[in-house]
Amino acid sequence: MTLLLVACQEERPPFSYPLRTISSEKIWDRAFHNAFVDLIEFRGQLLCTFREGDGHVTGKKGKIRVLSSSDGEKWKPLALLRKKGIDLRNGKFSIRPDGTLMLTGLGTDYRGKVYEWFTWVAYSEDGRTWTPPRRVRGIPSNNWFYDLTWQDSFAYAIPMIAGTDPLTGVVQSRQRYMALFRTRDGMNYEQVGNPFDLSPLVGEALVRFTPNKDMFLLIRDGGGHSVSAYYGQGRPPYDSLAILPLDHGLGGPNLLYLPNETWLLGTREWPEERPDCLNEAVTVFMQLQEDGTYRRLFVLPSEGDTAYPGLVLKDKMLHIAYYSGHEGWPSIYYSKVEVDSIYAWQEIGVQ
Amino acid sequence: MLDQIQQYLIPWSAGIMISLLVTVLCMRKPLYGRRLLAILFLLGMLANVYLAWIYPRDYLVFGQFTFLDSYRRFIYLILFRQAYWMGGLLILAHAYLAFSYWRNEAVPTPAIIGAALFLLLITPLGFGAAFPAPLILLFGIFYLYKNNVERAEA
Repeated sequence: MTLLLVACQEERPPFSYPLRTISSEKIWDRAFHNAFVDLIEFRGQLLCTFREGDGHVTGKKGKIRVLSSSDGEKWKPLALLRKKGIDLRNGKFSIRPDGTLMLTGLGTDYRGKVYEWFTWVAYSEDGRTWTPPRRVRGIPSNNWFYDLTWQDSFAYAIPMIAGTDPLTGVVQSRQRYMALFRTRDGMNYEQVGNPFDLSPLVGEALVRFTPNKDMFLLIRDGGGHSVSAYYGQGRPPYDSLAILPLDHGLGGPNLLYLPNETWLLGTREWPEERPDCLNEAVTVFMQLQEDGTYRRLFVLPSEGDTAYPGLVLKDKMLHIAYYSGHEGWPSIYYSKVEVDSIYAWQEIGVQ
Repeated sequence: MLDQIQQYLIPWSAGIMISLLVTVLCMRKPLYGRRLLAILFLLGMLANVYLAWIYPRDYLVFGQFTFLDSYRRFIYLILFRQAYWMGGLLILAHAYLAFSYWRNEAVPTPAIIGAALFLLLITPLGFGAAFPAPLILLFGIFYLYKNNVERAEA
């Protein structure tokens, strides 16, 4: 297998994209590491959030930046969230049923080693002024959920939860478990059903709903270099979910239910997962079936440290904000695709 | 820019106040002005010892402040990656300037030009150089040069 990979790498020129590539524009590169992106439409504006730091994991404490744009062309800084002594990352937007804008994300007490993980939440009425990021309640300590999705009057999330080493106080980050939690306000959570029986290296997880309230979920597995994952389904009240292995890794995934009743998945794809055997990870979009099979549709200009696309469907256009390091250092990019083009590619398949 | 003003208001204001003080001293009391400049260059040398040889990641902070994309590219892609020896050059330059400005003699022309060049080069750092402090200091350096010329003519 290794020899085959090496052979493939030698035959093909590096950094080309055999899949159809959608162009994108850089919208922010001020910090040395701009990453972990989300996008939302709020009161007619596109809001983009991401982490500003000086490295993917270590270094100075990360801050959460919020940008706004009316057309996707010009972006202006709107807010900057920080918490003293805490690395903030993975900010994710959602809108509460009462119209309040929310940001949730991961806070880490990192002092050479990880001494605490926690999920934080901040609220805003206008996207500009935010409450301080505060720990959510009701989930066991050392929790972090990647994504929060509202369905009727509840929001659902799947946090990864880890214990603490009693001697060192360090988070036991390689012994994680997961369960479904729900909230009415974004701050106070309650568990739904039993914990999942999955790998101890589960990570980013997200839930989505179809219009008939069926739940579809994705869970990253395998730690940093994820080449395995899970997908699952459930019906209300979601206390019993069917979860199966997915034959593809996930890295900063996002999932969107398109109007033609298909799932669009955007994620990082590692070189060994790619059909073209290139030697850099890219941000790829694929059609994901509910039986766990998938078909690649397009890639974004990307390389290496990349993915975490934020997706907004607006006026028959798919707006995408993501990050990539293909032009020097990890920066934020914006792109848009006609939804009709995606439908056509679903018919044609891989270019 | 506004969030930078909020976050760095105190060091930014302090930088401007110090540059004004140095410039006024260079105009009124050139000896004290030179000595204060020498101390500033000495502190700059120590800062670069830390940045270049102990924690080069802090060079990255300056990249966030600059208003020139090309300058940011230089900091992130060249200075940070070659911090050890590029920082070493900055340390040597600062040491030379500190020595030249401390002496009781007129500041040598290469030290005048070197300091002026350095201040011009760090101006695009914006808040990272407490802008407009480098331009204010440039006035002080200019007065020292003028003072040199007048003394030579006398």
